Amino acid sequence: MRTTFPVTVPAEVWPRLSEPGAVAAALPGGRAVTADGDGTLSVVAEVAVASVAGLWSGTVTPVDADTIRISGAGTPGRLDLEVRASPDRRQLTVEGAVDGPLSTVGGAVLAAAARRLAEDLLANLADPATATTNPPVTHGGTGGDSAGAGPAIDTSRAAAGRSRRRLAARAGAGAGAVVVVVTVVRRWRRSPR
Amino acid sequence: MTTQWFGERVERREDERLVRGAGRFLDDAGHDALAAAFVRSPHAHARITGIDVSDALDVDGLVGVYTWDDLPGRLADPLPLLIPHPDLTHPRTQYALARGEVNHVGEAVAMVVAVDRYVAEDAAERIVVDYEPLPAVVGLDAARAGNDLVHEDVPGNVAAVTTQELGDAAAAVAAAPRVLELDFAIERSLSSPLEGRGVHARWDPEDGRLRIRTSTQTSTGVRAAVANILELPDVAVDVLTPDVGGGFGTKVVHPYPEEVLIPWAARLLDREVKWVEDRYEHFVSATHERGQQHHVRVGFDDDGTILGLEVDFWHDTGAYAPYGIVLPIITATQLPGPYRHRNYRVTFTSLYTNTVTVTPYRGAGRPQGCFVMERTMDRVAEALGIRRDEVRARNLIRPDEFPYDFSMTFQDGRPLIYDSGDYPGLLDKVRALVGWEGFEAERASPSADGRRLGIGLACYVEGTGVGPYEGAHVHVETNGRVMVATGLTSQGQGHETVFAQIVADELGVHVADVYVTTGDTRRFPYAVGTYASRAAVMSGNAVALAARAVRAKAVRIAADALEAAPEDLAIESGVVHVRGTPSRGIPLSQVAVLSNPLRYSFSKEAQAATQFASPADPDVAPVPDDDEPGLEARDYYSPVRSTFAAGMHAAVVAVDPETGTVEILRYAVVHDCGPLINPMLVEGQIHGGVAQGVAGALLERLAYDEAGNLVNASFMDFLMPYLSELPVPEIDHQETPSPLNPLGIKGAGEAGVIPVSACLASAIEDAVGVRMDAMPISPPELWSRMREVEVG
Repeated sequence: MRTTFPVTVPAEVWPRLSEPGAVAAALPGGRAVTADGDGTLSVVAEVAVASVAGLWSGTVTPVDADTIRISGAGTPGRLDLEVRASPDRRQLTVEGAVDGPLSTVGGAVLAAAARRLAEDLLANLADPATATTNPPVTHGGTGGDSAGAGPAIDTSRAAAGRSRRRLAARAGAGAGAVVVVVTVVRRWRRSPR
Repeated sequence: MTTQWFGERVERREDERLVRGAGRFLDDAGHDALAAAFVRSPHAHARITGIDVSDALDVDGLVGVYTWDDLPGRLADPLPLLIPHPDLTHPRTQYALARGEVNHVGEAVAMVVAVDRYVAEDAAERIVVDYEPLPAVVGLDAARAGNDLVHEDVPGNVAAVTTQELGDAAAAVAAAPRVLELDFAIERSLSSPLEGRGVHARWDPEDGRLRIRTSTQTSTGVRAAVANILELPDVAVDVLTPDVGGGFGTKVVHPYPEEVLIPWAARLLDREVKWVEDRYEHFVSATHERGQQHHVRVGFDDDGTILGLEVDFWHDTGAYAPYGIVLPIITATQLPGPYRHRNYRVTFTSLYTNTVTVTPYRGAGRPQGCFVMERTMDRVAEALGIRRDEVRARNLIRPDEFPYDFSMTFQDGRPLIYDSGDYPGLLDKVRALVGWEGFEAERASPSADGRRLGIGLACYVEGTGVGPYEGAHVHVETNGRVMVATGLTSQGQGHETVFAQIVADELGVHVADVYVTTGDTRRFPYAVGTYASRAAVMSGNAVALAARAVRAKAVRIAADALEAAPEDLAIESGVVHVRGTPSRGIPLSQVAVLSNPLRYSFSKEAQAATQFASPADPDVAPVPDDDEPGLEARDYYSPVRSTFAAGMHAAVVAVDPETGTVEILRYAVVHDCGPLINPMLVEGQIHGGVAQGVAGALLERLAYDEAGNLVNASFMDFLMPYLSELPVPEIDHQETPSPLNPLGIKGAGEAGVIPVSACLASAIEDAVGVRMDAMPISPPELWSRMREVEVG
């Protein structure tokens, strides 16, 4: 997939991006965000894009001042993406491979979901009250296929509760894109201007 | 006593299930399948600058949204050019999903798949496509002007220019004592089968097979295209054609975008996926036909003999040209009709427009050609002051002039040679049937309601049974059933009936014991399709040839069992017996048992074929080198060229001068398609054809506005006739066998529609005196034209 979309990062959000607990709470569908100490984040999140739903876990690793790499897998599929920030820090470009069920929803859906995820995450960080629907942090994810359960394409989702649907709708283009946004924003703070 | 099934009014085998509601149409399958819906262009011509599906994410049950960017490999290429031609210098075909540009309202931009159609439609409504509108080329006048282009790399919107000529038409016209220059036009319409298109696909991951049901006129064509585009082995793709609720040409296009996208999605998602066209989609994405403009120069002598004919015409091919230039070729080569031309030149220009793509619709270019030729004959008659039937009689090809070679190339790439016919015989019949001689007295009699009467006549020749081939498999099972499979499809014509009649005669069995399967690539993988009035000719002869091979084998095996000479045997009522000794015989079912040497018996009857059942020649293998087990055979029929049916229509109309309403008082059809397999079915074809012809002449048209919007894209505004608007034609047959095929038959499927516009134009003009140079004509239009004549 490849998509570019604008992002806005309010000033008050910056401190919260360095708090894994805050990010875990703000991350739509987020179950855990763990800092490994070397700049890498481990993430577990519930992902729902169209009728693809399930747990995803993976890592996010800084590549350079403008780019991070995200990889991981779960019931929704495997992601191997690079995310680049534009020079003015107002756009993100997400590019790489999406395999498994997530790869079947269509590129336009992935792009739309990625953008929505970024917007929701940043909005949640700006207003933590909106981020209380996530369950408490239970563990740090390690990635791999074992994460998550349930059908790869959950077409019975229409029968699920409204809160789950809201969550699913927000979860966007997979935890990968979510973590990408988090990590890139954190790295922007660190990078020289 | 031998029963002859060929020629009998055998009731349709199909109808028992259809009238009980037990037919299995496309939408009867796949109830649990995911459903697809399409986002289609609202613009006739525009660039796509963005597709935003964000709002669709909120629709529960959405499975995916796909645009051109998602299409892999060959699926991202333009769809196939089905019929290339050297003169088609600028072929353009569409992408399965629009790639950055749309060229007609209704072109598919995105495909939505969801848990059901409701959800898919909801999601599709939320998808926002940003368009940058471009100038739209709508109609032939705009296309010919060339001020704006449909495809920026196609100068003048010209897809093709072709000329064919017999003799020296220009010189003949120049030298003729009399010359007329005439212009004629036919508007655009569409097939409108009651059942629209539809596709249902299932991927079997265990076997690596794709099974497709599609409402098509060519299952093998769809199979070849899908296998190629999705890069699957041919043997991994099965295409089944269920009951089809009409096609009339539009379903011969393959693959439609949906026919590759739905199978692709089924494989991608590993789920059954189905799409069923709704009526609006049919209007704006199933193909159209008919729109053409013609200019004629005709030279003739004082007796009305045509000396030279020059025709230039312009064909609207719509946004793309997947069917090449077959349609204008048909017009060009069928325009001469039943007349003796020595000098004929025709040049056509095929032009792109920003409207729905054009491919054959029942009649396929012939109604336009017939209209031009028949209106020309009426003008010649008028110019000379002689009767319209008489000017035709003076120009008809005589029976002793067959085969009649036009030295032109027909739509199948083969020579345009009429094989047989009796056109003067047809004219005599139609004049008698309509009451031509007594009409002037009828016209002169006082009219109680003030309506004006007119009589018209139109003649046509139709090339039918085009190749390259069709095949069939005939298998006599050990239970006595005769199983027949042929690859071409049925859209309701009655193939199960007529093919059973042919096989029943060839094998000497009851027609009820013959079971016909059509359009299933699992049963017969080699076929071309049902179009061009070819099914009876092509598959009819193929099933006959295959049945004859089965008969020969049955007689050989029975001769051995009965210890009789094969030439002494006959097959009657399913029993092979010695002629003159019916008691000395063996049923075909038992012959089928003996045809398959067995080690393991599966029934009491089968014991006769086991290895210890009877003494055998120890030096002869149970299945010799030149033999095969089973009482079955496969054969093909491939004609050297098309066979030409013909017919003539005549009508008496009453025109109301106060309203312009036209009532058809009598409609006479004389038709010659060679020997009739089933007169009832042929008459049914004629009834349907005349109905579509009347609709095309008086009611149906596709109304585009200047921006390229189809403003009457519903049955509220597109005037499909009711039975109350249609005449019940009086029909007479003439049977002139074709020398080109074993059964001597010619096609009948399209004939009914071909001359109707010409015939009714002739009758209306005769009634009210207005120049009928274009069809269709509505009551308001006719009323206005009548007022113009009155005003002078």
